[in-house]
Amino acid sequence: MKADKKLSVRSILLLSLCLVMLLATACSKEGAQGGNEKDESGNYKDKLKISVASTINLKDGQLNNEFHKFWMDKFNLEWDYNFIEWDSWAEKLRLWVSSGDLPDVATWNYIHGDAMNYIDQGLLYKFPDDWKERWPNVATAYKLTGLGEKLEELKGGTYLLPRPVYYENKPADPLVNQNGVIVLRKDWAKAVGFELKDAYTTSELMTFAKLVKEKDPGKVGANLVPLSFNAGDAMVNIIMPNSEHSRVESAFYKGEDGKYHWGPADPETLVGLKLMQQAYKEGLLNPEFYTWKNSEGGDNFRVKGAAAVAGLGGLASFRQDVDKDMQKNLGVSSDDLVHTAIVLGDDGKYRNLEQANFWSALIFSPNISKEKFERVMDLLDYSTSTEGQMILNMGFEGKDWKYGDNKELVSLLPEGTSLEDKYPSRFEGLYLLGDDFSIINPAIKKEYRDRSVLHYQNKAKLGKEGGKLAAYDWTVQLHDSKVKNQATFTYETEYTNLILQSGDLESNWKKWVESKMSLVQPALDELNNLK
Amino acid sequence: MSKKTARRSAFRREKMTALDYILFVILLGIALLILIPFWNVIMISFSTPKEYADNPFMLFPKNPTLASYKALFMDGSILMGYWNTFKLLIVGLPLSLFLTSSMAYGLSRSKFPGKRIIFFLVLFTMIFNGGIVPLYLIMKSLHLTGTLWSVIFAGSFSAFNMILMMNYFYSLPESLMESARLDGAGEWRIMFSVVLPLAAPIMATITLFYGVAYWNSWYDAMIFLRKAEQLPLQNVLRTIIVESTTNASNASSVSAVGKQAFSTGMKMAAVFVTMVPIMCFFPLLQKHFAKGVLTGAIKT
Repeated sequence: MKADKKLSVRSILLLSLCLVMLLATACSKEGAQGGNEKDESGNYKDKLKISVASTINLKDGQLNNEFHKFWMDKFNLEWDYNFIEWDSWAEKLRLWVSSGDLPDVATWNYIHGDAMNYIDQGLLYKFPDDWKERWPNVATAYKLTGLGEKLEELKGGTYLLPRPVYYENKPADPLVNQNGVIVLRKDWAKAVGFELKDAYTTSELMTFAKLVKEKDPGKVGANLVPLSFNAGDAMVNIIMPNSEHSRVESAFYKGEDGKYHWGPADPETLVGLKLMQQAYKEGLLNPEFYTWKNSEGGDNFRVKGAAAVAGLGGLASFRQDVDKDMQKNLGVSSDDLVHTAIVLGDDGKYRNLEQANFWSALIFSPNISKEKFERVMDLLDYSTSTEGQMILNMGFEGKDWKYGDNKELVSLLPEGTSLEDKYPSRFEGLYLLGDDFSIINPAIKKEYRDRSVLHYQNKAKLGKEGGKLAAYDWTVQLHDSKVKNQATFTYETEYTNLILQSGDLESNWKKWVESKMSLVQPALDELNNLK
Repeated sequence: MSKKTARRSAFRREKMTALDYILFVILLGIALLILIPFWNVIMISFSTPKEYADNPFMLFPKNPTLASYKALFMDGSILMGYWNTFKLLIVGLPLSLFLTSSMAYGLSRSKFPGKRIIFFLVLFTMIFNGGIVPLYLIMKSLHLTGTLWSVIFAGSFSAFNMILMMNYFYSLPESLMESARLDGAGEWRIMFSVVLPLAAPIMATITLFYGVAYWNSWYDAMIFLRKAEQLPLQNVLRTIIVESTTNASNASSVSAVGKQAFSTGMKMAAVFVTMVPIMCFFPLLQKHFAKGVLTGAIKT
């Protein structure tokens, strides 16, 4: 009996101990490992270990290089780096956020519906109310994204930092999508007597393609592809210049009547489709262009040297890549052979999409300690400053770069090497994207950078002066519903199917619009009924 | 002509009918249909981007190059991937075989209390699974996320393989185990000393199944691992290929643009690199393989 009693007392004690331990484990938050006090020379006294996740592939041992050490020493921190494979970005982050296993700070491919759910469920860290005063550089860049303030209106606080594409080097205002820049063979244009301009209408481009097809100035023969577009390029460079609401990003838009419409049903889209079909029927597009994937369209131009026109995109780095590819594969410098231009609609108006100035976002774990959060924000604020940007994008002054006689940036890296070769995987530029610095980065040839900026400026100017830029509609972009998702189509495939169908294009298009309305109309109704 | 040779050619003439020739041609055609694309994959991996753009279907590249392989092996991550996959196989394969064979042996023996329920529970996991989030939460609570153990444990047991093995064990005569039991052997001893030596075909088959599964596995590693240096081969290859094929024209930021590389060549080189070891492994087990599948699939 006594033994039983003793046993039960022991059991109760043991059980209580277990419970206390359990409670202690359950209630303990990730404790602060140190504060943010600084010593006399302004350095942080305590070292903090901060976990960070991004899509930059940081390999074993790379944290030991001078560049990463600079950031770790400056902010007295130790990184626990988590690598996210590019194609599993969304899935991995969703899993981490949902299971409460998010690293202290992570880059996230922003998905609005998920963001709303995460915030409602308390799965993201809420910023202190005074953060904009405490970290002014971040706050200024944050303001340019537009999304940050929209989210604040919706959720009454800051829960994430949308990453700005452009900050101090924004190439034009309004900022227009970089898509819609083509490359054409300058030497062939001269040979067939085609004028070089900064902008061409779709028909002018087709005229050039026809001339090249007839005269074959490059003596390419049967391999010649006058317009080397895949289905996506054809949509961007033939249909979009004639219909700014033909793409998925802008398909739902508010018309002048104040109601929402569906762009692919607009007559302007039919104009684009007719031109695309004409290009196909006249043999300007490759007979199998719709089977091409990724860079196959561009490869005819830059690798094979068999195309008169190809899609490129507006970033200067893209142009530099064309040059590298032509030198490597064709053994020629592209400067005398390649001309870049933007594409206008057949009515001479410029059409494209206004671009939101953000791409992906930074999120913080709801369990991050105040000290760690502040330390990361200090780092972000410094990385957004001019000095921080120079270190991130150029390396160290005097060692990796210097100012030239005219205050221009001069790289001191050995010929043929890049900063990435010297300091691989520079993930510390967590906040501001590299696009901003690419405008002034001497690693990209000045002529290409100037040309890229000129196209951005022309897009903005032509778009404003009589052009038609699809506005970035925050209501549509921030609205997430099953109905809207069901009315989202792969338009490049849909348009290609339409132009390949036998029979009259206009009646086929009408039938197609009608067939889609069962999915589109509920989405339009939903948008029109939003308060 | 010697008598022997004459007899052999007479035998051939007798055996080879017109139908045989037709069948031979058809089978040869089918074999070529399988082999030529495979050969093409290898040849593309040795070609230049220009040559591939000029002629995607090639039997021999005119200017063979190792550039795609160099790009693939350049940063050492492939070797790291091989090493991690090797670790998965070395630890995971014996563990899987042990878990599967011991459970299969237990369930194949005479009736014992709860046998049906246990079998039903195993079968249930084959039809329904809990999903990735509960699995992740379990691994997290065991503090295994971010370690190779999470990948090993997640793939360590397959209900299908267990049933296959269990059916094989049913085919062994019960009297063998009874004799061993009479000689004083316990169940573990019986399993290791009597049953497993007689189960070479099914062991070879299941080894191959688990081996191929570990070799090809990428999803568990993608979910559970967090460091680039932990990733197994398949994930490393995926990363390299995805980075090289990200479509620049659709990117809204330079951050989204992949590295410039001959992506098709790299893809083909990756296919080749991934296939070779498993192709070397397969013939060693092939003779047991068909027998093991057949015997395990039929309950006797």
